[in-house]
Amino acid sequence: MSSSTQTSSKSLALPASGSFFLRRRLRNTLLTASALLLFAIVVGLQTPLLDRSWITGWTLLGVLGFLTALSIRKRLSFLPLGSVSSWMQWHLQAGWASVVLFAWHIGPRIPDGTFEFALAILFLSVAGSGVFGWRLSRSAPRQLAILPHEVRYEAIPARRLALAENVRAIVLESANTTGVLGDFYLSHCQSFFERPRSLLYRLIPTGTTRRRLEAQALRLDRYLTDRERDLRQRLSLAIREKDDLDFHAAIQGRLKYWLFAHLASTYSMWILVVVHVVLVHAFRGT
Amino acid sequence: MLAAVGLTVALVAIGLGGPWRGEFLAPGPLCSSHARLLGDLQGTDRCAACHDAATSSSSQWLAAVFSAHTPGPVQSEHCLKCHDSTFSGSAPLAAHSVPSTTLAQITQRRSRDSGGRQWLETLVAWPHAKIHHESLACATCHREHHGELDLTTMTDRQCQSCHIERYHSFELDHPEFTQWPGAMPRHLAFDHEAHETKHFPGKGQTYACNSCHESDVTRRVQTLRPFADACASCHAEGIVASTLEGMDLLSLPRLDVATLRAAGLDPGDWPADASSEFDGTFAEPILALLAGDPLATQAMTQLGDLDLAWLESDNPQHLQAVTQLSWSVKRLLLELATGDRDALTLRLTAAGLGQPETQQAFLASLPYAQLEEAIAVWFPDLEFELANRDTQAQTLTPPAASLPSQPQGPDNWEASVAEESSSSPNLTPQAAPDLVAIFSAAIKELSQDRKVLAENPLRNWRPGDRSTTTPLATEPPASATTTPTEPATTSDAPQVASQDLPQETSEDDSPDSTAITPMPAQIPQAALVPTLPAASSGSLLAENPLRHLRAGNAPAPPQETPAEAAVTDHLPTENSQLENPLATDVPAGTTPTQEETSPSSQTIDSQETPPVDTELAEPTTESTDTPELATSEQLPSESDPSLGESPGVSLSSADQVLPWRHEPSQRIGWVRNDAQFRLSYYPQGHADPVLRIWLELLRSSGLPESISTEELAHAMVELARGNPTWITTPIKSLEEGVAPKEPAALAVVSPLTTWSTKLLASNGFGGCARCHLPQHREGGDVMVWQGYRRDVARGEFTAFSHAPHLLTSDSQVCQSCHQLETLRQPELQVVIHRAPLEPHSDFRPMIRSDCANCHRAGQASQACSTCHDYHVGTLRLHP
Repeated sequence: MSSSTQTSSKSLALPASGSFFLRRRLRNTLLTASALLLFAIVVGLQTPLLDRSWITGWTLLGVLGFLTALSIRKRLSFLPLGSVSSWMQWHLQAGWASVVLFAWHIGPRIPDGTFEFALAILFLSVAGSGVFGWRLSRSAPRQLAILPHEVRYEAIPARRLALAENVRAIVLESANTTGVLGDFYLSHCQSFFERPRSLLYRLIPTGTTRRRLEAQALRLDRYLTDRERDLRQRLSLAIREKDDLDFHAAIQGRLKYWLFAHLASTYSMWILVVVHVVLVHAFRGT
Repeated sequence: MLAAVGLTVALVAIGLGGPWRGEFLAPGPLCSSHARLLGDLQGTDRCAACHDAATSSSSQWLAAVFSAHTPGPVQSEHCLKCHDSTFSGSAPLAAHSVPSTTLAQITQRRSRDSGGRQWLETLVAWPHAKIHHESLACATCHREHHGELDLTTMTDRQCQSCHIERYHSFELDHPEFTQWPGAMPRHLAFDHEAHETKHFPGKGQTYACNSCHESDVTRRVQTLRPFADACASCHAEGIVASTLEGMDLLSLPRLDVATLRAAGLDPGDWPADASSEFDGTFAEPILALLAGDPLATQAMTQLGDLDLAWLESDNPQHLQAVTQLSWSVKRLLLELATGDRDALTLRLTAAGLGQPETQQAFLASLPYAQLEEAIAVWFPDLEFELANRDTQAQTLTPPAASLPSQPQGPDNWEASVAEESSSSPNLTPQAAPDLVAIFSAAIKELSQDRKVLAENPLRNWRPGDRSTTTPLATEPPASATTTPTEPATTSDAPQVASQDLPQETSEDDSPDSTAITPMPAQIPQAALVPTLPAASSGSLLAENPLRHLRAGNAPAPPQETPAEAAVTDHLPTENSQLENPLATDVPAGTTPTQEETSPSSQTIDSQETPPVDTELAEPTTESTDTPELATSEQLPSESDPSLGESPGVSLSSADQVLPWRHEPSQRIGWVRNDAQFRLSYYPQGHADPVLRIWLELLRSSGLPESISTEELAHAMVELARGNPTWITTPIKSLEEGVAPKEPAALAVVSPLTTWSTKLLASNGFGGCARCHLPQHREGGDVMVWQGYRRDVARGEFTAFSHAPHLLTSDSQVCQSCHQLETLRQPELQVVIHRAPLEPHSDFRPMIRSDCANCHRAGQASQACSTCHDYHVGTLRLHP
């Protein structure tokens, strides 16, 4: 992403309804914090001889159930259970509360049993993917909005293929002259245009490759004829367009696959949660 | 997504289904202690050691989710399998491991003291009352599977979760101490103030706490140093000084036998040297043992003052009483000589002396060998005399008088007992009717045995009847016709012809050993008893060859025969310790000189035989510094003018086994004095085992702490009627003059009281009771010889450890917390320090600020568990 793009994203103003979202967010956050505080007071007043992990565990189980209910709510859209947007807001607040409860539940230690460690890892992965998705849902639209044109995620492969064909045509057209562009394409650009970007780019998309290729192409101008300079400019535009497509693919891919990871880890976690509940009852010390 | 779920399910199934299930499911490592215990177990077995669920099925696991209980026993029961010795109390799982009733009482008291200020906490907190009645699982506080974390760590919040009265910190609002360190049971009468202000300065010594106190191995408590370290430098000498005179177990008074006989009374045999005039008294233990004998008690009551020097020789009742008392004493002596523990136990019980345990310990402490020898010397015909008396008494009519004017046999003794019981039911407070019956039965049983002896055809044989042929010995040995060597007495029957007596020994006059042969040769062992002289027939006394051994005339057969060897082999162990020259040292056919026999006379009936003083062992006629203790060369003899005329005296120097005496301070153990007819005990000093047993016997006898008004009134009434009785005057009254003296003096003091007073008075024999206080227990008082020591091996509600506080051994460190209470009234000090019932402390109670000077924020810990144990009464795992 270019610096100009980042600058433009900072200059974006909040939408007209921003104050509403802000108020709603504050309200929900306060309510969640209040609920946690009340819970802490109640538990704190109770005798410490009661197994605190017992209380926090069952409370955490209930909160996890509520969080999972969002997925069911989406599938039961015909039922008058409130808007998905409101559900999402409470999902976010409950998610934060579950993290607090989880920390309270396990105490100041890292679970060192194999099973409990796996369960903790799964919970943290669910929570982490949730936070990641929450942040992504906030940042991705802005990042995609600064691109010159919108591209549907499903159209990106076709657009990428067409762009590769276009670049190949440009290179063939320059073959009748010095051949410098052809050599540059073969040595630096062919894999960029014809292969998908690396996993690292899809996780952390940056404009480094694009800037490197543009700079290298620009340095070829002194060896090119005027005709070839025109072709080089068209190649540079193709490089930028390809990078935008890859950026679209990466951002839209995040939006598409984080939820998959979130749900997959959630269901896996639920399996271990059930086993955990059974075990703590069967092996309880009282 | 399905793949992820499937993968998870597969991994969980693998984890639960494999042999590694235990490790897979374990929520964390065990603490090191438990891990070591289970180190040999693997897998499921390791889990199953504590969790029944480890071997349960999955369906049982699922059922546990919806059940209030886990499969199998409750978890805590598994814990107690290993920790049962620690939690051996009745309520190991109760709160604080103490019974719920105790907690409820404490809670009620605390709630009452707090004035109900904790209503808010009570309202919102857990229902605390349930704690009192429910068991608390071990896992409530001890969370396992957390690795090396201390399982026993308790937080203040855990403590205060149950305690309604909650404190923010010890420094700020912990309740004020009510009495800490508090009054402790008093085992020793010790006055810190007097020692600090008077005794130590008086000796020019520095009063320092560590002079008497030291840390124990746990360093939690300060214990008393041993007597040798803490007290002996000042008190050992006093203890020895108080025991120089010895405690008589036996002592015979002098009886004016001639006067008694002139009055028509028959006192029986009595040592000639003690037959001149009425004087002296019987030893207190003997009189105490007779306290359950109705005839003896009647005689003692009649006599009043048992010092015969005050006996009214013209009073027939007194003469009858002393005659009866002499016979009662003789019966007791026979039981002592024969070691008849059953009879002695009955006497102790009838006299109200001790409890079964202390009675047996007392009987075990008696020197039976020395008793046997002493009685053999003093009353050589005792058993025969009593048997003969019993036989004669069978033909006599029971006397109608209250006191027997004639010797009584066992049959009329019963009648007399019945009569006495009906006429004077309150004569002997200790002799309850049932005890009288028991005693009567026992005496009757004993008399049956004596009947057998009385029927002995040899019973009429007397040393003087040397012509009498023993019926069992077809051919009496020549030696049997020789003069027996028993000392003659003033008795009529066993009178020994003076010509048959061994001539009084002098330095130049050795006895004719060939004429003294106590053991006839070539007599089967079984025939030894009947063929022996009658004075020793059929008794343990007769079987003791040492009774024939007299200093200066120790006989030895010309040649040791097999029979003699057999006799020698059957010598009692005690006698063997006497190194009997007859058995070993004296050459056959020789007559030992006094020098040769002196070692035998030097044998001391003591627990520790002091080294022989060769100088004193030399034959000499010079008196020693201790005239009452004669060596073999200083025996009372006919030729000794200092002893006066003793007609019929047979206790020649050659006839006695005499104690070896050193300086009085060196006498230890049992010492017999044949000149004064005493068998005395000289303690070894502090913590003497025999003295301890005697004190325990007397303490467990339940002597009254104060005189009973009813008892005193009864004694006065009976005295006014001319029927004196005795009262069990309390020790304290005699010792401190608490009880009125005059009424007590008018009545007769119980011999039990006399003996007890001698031993249990603070200034009594040995002075034991000066420091050692009795502890009251059900079934009689007990002596607790050790100073009180807090039992820190078990948890306490308030558990203080001196260890972190005693940074130095300086007394100032001790006195920063323990400050003497100096406001006590001096006149009460004695009472306070000698009142074992009341726990007491010489120091003023501490207050919270004394501790809060250090236990405050930023300094020493204020945690509850710093000073309080949760598990009270259970073994402390980490002392």
